[in-house]
Amino acid sequence: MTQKNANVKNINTIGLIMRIALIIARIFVGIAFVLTLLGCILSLWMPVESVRIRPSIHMDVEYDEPKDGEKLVEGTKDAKWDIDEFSVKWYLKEKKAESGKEALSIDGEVEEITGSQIKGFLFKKCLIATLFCAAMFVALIFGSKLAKALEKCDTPFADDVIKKLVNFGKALIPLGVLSLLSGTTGIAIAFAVLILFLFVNLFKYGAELQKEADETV
Amino acid sequence: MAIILRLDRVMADRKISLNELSERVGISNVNLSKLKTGKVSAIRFSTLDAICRELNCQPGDILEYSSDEPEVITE
Repeated sequence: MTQKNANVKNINTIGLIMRIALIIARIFVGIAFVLTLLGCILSLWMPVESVRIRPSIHMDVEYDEPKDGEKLVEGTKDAKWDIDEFSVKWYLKEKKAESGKEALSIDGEVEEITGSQIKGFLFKKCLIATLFCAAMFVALIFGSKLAKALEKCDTPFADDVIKKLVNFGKALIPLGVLSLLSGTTGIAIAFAVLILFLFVNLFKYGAELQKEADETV
Repeated sequence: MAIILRLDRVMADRKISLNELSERVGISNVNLSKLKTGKVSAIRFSTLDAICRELNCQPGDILEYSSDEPEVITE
């Protein structure tokens, strides 16, 4: 091929933009990895009985009276909600308010949190975050390699591009698994991996067509 | 089954070089060279038309079928 097709030039430009964006992302993810790793180490070093916390929450809430006459809260309702390992007791009390409005006083009491609980909580969260950052960093490295291949290619249906696409897809798998386990954006990443492998097969077919086109004069 | 290209023979008869023919036909030197050495899998009618026009020959002068000879063009 003597002169590049306009679409291929667009792909080269997109590859360049992707590479720059991924380099910037890698810097941030790298910093995040170091910070979360430090968090893991610090949480392990933290003396067990160095701190005890007994948090309490107080809120005064005022809202417009519901139009259908039903109250949002009947009388006082005490509730108990669990947030992670911590149990929170909520006490609700109706207060006097202007006409047309209702008011509640809400007090929350958390059972005393010990140092070992805090340590365990911090370590767990930091460890998940560290693993996530590590998986993302690896995925970004392979993403950068794919972006570079797209930037330099004469055709997107080259063996090199397909190989880098496959490797990028494989690099996303640990990220997807971690996301699914931690219950965050796992489904989205899982779909992204599936779509990526679909594209791999599309590109492989494209490569066959490209070869036929190249061998036709 | 094999299609054999006799382009080199016809070019020699007409005393025309690869560069000159590629320029007249409108394809690159590289592609014409591949055609000459049989390293292509297909040829467009437009290319065949241009070659026959420039070399003043028939398609049968350039393309030959032989079932006995080893494959030159693989599909």
